[in-house]
Amino acid sequence: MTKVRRNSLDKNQKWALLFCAPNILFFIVFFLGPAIIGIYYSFTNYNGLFRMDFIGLQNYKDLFHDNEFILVFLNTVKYVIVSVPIGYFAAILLALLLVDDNIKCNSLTRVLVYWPTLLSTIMVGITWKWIFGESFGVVNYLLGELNLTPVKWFSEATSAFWTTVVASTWAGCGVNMLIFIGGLKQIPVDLYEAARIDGANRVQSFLHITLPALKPVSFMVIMLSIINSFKVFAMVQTLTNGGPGTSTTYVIQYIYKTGFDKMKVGYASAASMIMFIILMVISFIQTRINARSEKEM
Amino acid sequence: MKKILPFVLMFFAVFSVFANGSSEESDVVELELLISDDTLEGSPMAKAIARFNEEYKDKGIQVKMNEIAYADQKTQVLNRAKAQDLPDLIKTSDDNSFSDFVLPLDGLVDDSNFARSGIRQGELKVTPVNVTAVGLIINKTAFDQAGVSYPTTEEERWTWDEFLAALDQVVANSDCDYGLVIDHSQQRINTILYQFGYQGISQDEENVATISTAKKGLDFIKSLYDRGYSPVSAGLGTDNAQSMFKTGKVAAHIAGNWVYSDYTENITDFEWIPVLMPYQDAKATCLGGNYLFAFQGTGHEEEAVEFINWFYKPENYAQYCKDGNYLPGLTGIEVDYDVEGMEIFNMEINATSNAPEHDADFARANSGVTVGNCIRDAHDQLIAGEITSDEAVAYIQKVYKDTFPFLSVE
Amino acid sequence: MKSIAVNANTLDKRVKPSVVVKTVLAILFGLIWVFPVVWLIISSFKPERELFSYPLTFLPKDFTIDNYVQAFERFDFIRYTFNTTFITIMATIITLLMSSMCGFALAKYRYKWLNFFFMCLLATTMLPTEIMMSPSFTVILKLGLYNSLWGCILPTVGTMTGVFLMRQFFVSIPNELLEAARIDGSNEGGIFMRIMLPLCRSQLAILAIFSFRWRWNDYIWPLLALGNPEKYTLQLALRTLSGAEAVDWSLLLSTSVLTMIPVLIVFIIFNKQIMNSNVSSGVKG
Repeated sequence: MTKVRRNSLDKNQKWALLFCAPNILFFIVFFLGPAIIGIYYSFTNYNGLFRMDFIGLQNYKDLFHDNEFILVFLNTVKYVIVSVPIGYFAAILLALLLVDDNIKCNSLTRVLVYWPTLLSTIMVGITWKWIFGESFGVVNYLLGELNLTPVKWFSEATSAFWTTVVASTWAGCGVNMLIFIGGLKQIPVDLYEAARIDGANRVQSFLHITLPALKPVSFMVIMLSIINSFKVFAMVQTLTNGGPGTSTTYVIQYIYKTGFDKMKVGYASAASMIMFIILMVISFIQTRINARSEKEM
Repeated sequence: MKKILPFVLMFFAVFSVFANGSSEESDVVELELLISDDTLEGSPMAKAIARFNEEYKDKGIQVKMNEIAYADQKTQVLNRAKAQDLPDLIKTSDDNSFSDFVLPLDGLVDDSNFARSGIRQGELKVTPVNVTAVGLIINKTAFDQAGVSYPTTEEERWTWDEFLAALDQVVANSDCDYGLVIDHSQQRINTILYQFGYQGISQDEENVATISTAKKGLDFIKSLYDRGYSPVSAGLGTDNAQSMFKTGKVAAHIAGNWVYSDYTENITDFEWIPVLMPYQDAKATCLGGNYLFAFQGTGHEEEAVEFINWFYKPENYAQYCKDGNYLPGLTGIEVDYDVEGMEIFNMEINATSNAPEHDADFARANSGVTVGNCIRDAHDQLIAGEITSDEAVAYIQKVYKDTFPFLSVE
Repeated sequence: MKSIAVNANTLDKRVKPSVVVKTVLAILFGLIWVFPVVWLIISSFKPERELFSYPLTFLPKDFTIDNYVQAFERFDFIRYTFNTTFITIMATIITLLMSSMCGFALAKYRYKWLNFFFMCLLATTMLPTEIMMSPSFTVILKLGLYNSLWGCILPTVGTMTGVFLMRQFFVSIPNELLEAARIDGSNEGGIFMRIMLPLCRSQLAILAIFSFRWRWNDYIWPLLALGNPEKYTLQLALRTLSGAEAVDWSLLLSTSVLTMIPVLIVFIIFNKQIMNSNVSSGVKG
């Protein structure tokens, strides 16, 4: 009996391996391979072509004293800290507003809010660059018509920062909104009924019923948003090209610029590794907390 | 899923027909010319290639243009070098980064008429496909409206103070909101720096870079933005200076002769004219331009040289310069421009101080190593208010030191 | 479905004041969200001089399709569209197959190495392609995928999101179903093909839509893997214009609209599936 069981287990294991084989192969060839090469590069002064000398930890040492890298890193952190909560609340508010299928225009609005998520990051950048053009953009034109001062959307650090936040919220909100709508529909109505009988007002039921019920979904959304925000690149490159100065240059763009424009592949690889470690730590925390919340449920 | 399947099959059927149609075998050598930013200059290269292909359609050479983003050009060329799949020819302003793979043209191309040297690392490697000079273009309608005159002869040339005074008057008495826009380009920024006494690589002492001479010019540029002569967005390139000038809301544009095609075609609401640039400590313009060259190891070197030689035949070349409103990169070429005022740029070239070309010579002698756009980067941070002009100078100095360890940087 | 509708209805009475306010707000947000793209499309029909002259008008004063004519002269759109479609379809088919197989294995088998592999896959989401461009290019080159459309397909087919989506779905399928099929004598491959795959049709549809979006809009891999203009994709065309030193807006606007049209068509066709698919079931922790 045990023997038969063992046999079938082994057979199953073979099947499992077979099912995973393409992904395992993919993982080794297109992730592990480049990652190892990248780690190796990070210990060299590779310039992308011929020169490649092993220089040990020099790149990492330099990075920690590189004001530009530190600045860019802080920019990125600031971007994540600002854009993630804004994206989160925008999505949740839109979900609350649009969850009701009985209001006719809701389904249309959902479509409209969702639609930008299908556009490419380059397209998003182009679209907002066009809208926010400082001298001939429609937003500044309308501000002018209303006798308000036009905003220097791209040439002033703070407003350039906000244009990147606006564009990413616009482009990313739809997916999260749908997720929240899905979550909202699963909240049992009785809970609200009970709360009403207990005399809770709307804000209270939102805080004590809706938000806790959405906790697992929220968690997922926030974590994915954090990782995606750290990885923002093509959209901002198209929109502000990292400017003015370096005020909207985020880590990935810095890495791209250093690696290809300045041909410091080794140095850029070292920066990539630091980025990788940071994202790993975040995701580690994510899975830990997630595991705990799953147990609670 | 089942509903989609027929569509997928149909697609592949069409695709395979389509794919087969293009892979005809023939004896024709197809040259690939890599290029960026041709259209806004009036597609002169596309037109030249069309003429070449017509002339060579029975001679077994055809040229095809491959246009890619300027921002990705370096990435792509270097990747393709690694893949040993370099294009046959390239037209680029970057004569520096690729020198290791460039086909030497000594004895293959006659460079005796080249206006700018094509020698890199001791060999003839690049050809000056066009020469550009920085110059000043003004909104003539606005100047006339404000009753302000402008210089077209050396005697009338403004100092920067006079120029700013003129701009004040124009902005006050015309529809213009801004006095001046300057392209977001190191070449344009450098031009002003040179006008304010910037020396770059010293002409008196060997291997000395006098970067600190840039401070005066940097301070001045910063003041242009602080005093509202120019919108910071244009200086940072987030708004394109060229597009802004085209709105008619800007009195003057420090640009180059290559904007001619675009302006001729797309400015209809006002008149514009190139005039002489102001000076302060020196008169200066920066020469620039693009280079045409071939790569090694493509297997089509002979045909590529054939194309280059065809291209520089006087009649072909003059037509190319005319189409793009370029200044010729060969001496002795008469170009019959469709537009007026090109001679202003030649006047600038004749009047300029030696400093810009001396720096350019230094860069050519050290091709393969470059300080990149470090002056523009420092300029950006300066006018965005992130750093002071002293810090900007220190930044440029550091880049020079790191790039050229043998220089003593002041 | 009915209970959900009632549910939402009651919920509305509790949470929000009046239908009118909600309707107005919904319309307002809809307009805000759609305006940027609409403005882009309208602008693409304006001649260049109108783009840069005040006062701006909502509709073109001088309607023109010149920008589109120019775009077609400049780029071989038909070829680019074919290339992009080829990449998208092939990558999506492979992604669906790989993700469902791997997701099934991760959900239904218990081996230590599977857990380890799952963690490895999680790590892949951490490293964006953009920062591994140089090593990735080396790999593409060594595999002989350079200058081939497969060079933009193969490096993208393994996706953590896809595997995760499918795994979450298979976890929700009772093991009894699996056991019953085993007792009937089916082998694991047969169970997967005949029983499991048909069950996850709606998940596959979601993943297909994701994959379509990713691949259609990708520009990093095409930039890396393709050097031959005959292999270029639509996003590369867009990039050629938006990454230029001096942006030619009239051309960029029309090209943008052209690259957007296929996405719009797919969205209109699959609108119901996209909007109704309960995406959260796949992503929910």
